[in-house]
Amino acid sequence: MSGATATPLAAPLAAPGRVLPRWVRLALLIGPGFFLIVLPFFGAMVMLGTYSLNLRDANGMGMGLSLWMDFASDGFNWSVLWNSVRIAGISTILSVALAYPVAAALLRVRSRAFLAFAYIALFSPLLMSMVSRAYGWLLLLSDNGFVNQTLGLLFGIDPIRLVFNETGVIIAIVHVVLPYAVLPILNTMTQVPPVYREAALDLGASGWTVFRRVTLPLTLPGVIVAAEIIFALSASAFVTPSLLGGGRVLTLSQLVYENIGMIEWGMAAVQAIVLLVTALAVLFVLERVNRATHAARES
Amino acid sequence: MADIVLSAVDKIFGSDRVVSNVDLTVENGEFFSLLGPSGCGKTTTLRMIAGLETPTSGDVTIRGQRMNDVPINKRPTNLVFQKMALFPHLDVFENVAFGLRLKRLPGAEIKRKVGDILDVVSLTGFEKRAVSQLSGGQQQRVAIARALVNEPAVLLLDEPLGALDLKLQLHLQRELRRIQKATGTTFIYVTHNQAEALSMSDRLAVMNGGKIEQIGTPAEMYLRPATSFVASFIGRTNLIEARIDNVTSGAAHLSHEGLPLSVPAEELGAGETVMLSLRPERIEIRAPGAEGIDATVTEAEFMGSTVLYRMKTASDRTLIVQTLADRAPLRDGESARIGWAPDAAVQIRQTSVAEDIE
Ligand SMILES: Nc1ncnc2c1ncn2[C@@H]1O[C@H](COP(=O)(O)OP(=O)(O)O)[C@@H](O)[C@H]1O
Ligand SMILES: [Mg+2]
Repeated sequence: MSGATATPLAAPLAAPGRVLPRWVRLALLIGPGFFLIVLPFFGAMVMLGTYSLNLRDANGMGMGLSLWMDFASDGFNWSVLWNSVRIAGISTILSVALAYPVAAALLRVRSRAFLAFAYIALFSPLLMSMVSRAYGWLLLLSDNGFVNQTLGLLFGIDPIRLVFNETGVIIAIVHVVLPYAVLPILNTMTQVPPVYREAALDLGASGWTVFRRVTLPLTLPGVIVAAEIIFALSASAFVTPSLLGGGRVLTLSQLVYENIGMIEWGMAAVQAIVLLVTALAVLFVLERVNRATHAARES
Repeated sequence: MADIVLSAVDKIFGSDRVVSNVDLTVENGEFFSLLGPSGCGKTTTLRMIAGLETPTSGDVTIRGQRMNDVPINKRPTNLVFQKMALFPHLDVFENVAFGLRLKRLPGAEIKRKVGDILDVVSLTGFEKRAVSQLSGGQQQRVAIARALVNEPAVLLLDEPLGALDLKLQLHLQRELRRIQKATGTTFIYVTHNQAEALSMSDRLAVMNGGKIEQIGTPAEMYLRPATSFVASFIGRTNLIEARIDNVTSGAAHLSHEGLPLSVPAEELGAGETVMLSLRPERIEIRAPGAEGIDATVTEAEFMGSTVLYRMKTASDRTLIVQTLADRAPLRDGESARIGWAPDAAVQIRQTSVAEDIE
């Protein structure tokens, strides 16, 4: 068939010269994002790898795994890693537990005005700079801050230690990551048609049973995505644990920062890689759970 | 004993009266259909029986007990949803066992009951299948099994076959009838398909604009429609308006196109205008010169066992005529002698007229 006799419908196919080849179009779509995200990531990984193996022999210890041995043999490193994982884990559980009912409530809101207000409130933590937000929490939670004064007035109790310990760090982390937890859960909830809930009720289920046996399993993928995002964010948090921990709550990201400050690039690289691998391992496990629940649905 | 009684039930959404003054009695073990065009309030009526909607006024009574304040999960009814609503995270067995597990029955009993009901709906061996791996017809049968296994007093079905292709529809219609007979469960079946309602039901109600127009057996509804809507929605008909010439010994006599018709006259007097339904198959094509009138074919539809004609009379009125296809059909433009027996029409009340959907 020649181009001249082509029907109008076939014309776009018959005139390939006018459009760019498929791979070029794809490359143009992906390119900018690729250069911004993937290249720096791999570049950083390569750099971290070379530093952690001391390939430049900056400190005269010789190339090889010696920095890794140093890290592994120092119990302090492990306890700080455990701090990071524990803080991230607790923050994740709390955020998801708080976000789920918030999402469920937002799903039921009819008033547009109220919905707009709710979204602004939800995203307000992201509108503030990290440092001023952390100082704000310090003021609220300190021994003679707003929270302790109110508690003292109401119950006549001594101030509860809420800053310069893990409690304060976790409160402040949950505050800022909550919107990232609400969104994926809310998104999954909107994809579950109300008819499943009605069907379960019709079969005799109570409200709680409907939640446990239908709503929660069907929204679990959103919960897992939320947990993945929150864990990654809180495991790598730096400003919040530094300021609210007051140096008494050490996380791996703070050690990395300190080592960079002391020009210990090699050890900083080892710690950064450990932090990354730990976060990836947790994501891997969560993704496995996600797959398993999907598989149960399709097999 | 009556299983379900609706008395003076209204449902208003905002300012729309979606269900209006519905009175309905469904007997124990009956296959009862709610028939009507889309949007006439069938689903809403069914949801009020199931407990998914509360009547704005009026009472829903099930087996003698007033249900208005009984929540959905405490009612002896189960609903097969228009969109099936099988749980996508559970396999066939767990979908069907859902209601039984809530009753905390022993595992062995659940297994036996699920096995029995899957046998009834011809799905033995599909226990471990994911619902996404079933065909539409199989999913529909799982939905029915999931409801029936709870042995509800009444099974409510909302257009359960609407989404299936015609052949499967016909097959499952027979299956449903068989299941209903085998279990003796009262069925309330919602459909907009008049053929389906006629062939399956013991009795049916025709709904229009939120109101019930008529309740009766399929034969009563077809042979003695009460309103113009029922007459035109169930099957086809010729709607005739005519003045009564005279009344003698309980019969009102009138004529249409010069041919006599008579209907029982309980409260009718001469000079009154009445509306009649004259079914197409009650009009005969007669030999030339026989008693009757001449009419011209404007459209002939060959339907296999019958032929459907649209014919124009001398006074330019159109009549639909249906005859057995026992000879070569008349062609467009041909004319023929037609006529009917005086008792061929029935008197109806004028309501709205159903649009011809075919
Ligand atoms: N929850 C609701 N809110 C407002 N209007 C509704 C609601 N449910 C149904 N309706 C309206 O009520 C009418 C009847 O609906 P429905 O009972 O679903 O009809 P059918 O099942 O006969 O097609 C429709 O006009 C529909 O738009
Ligand atoms: Mg409906």
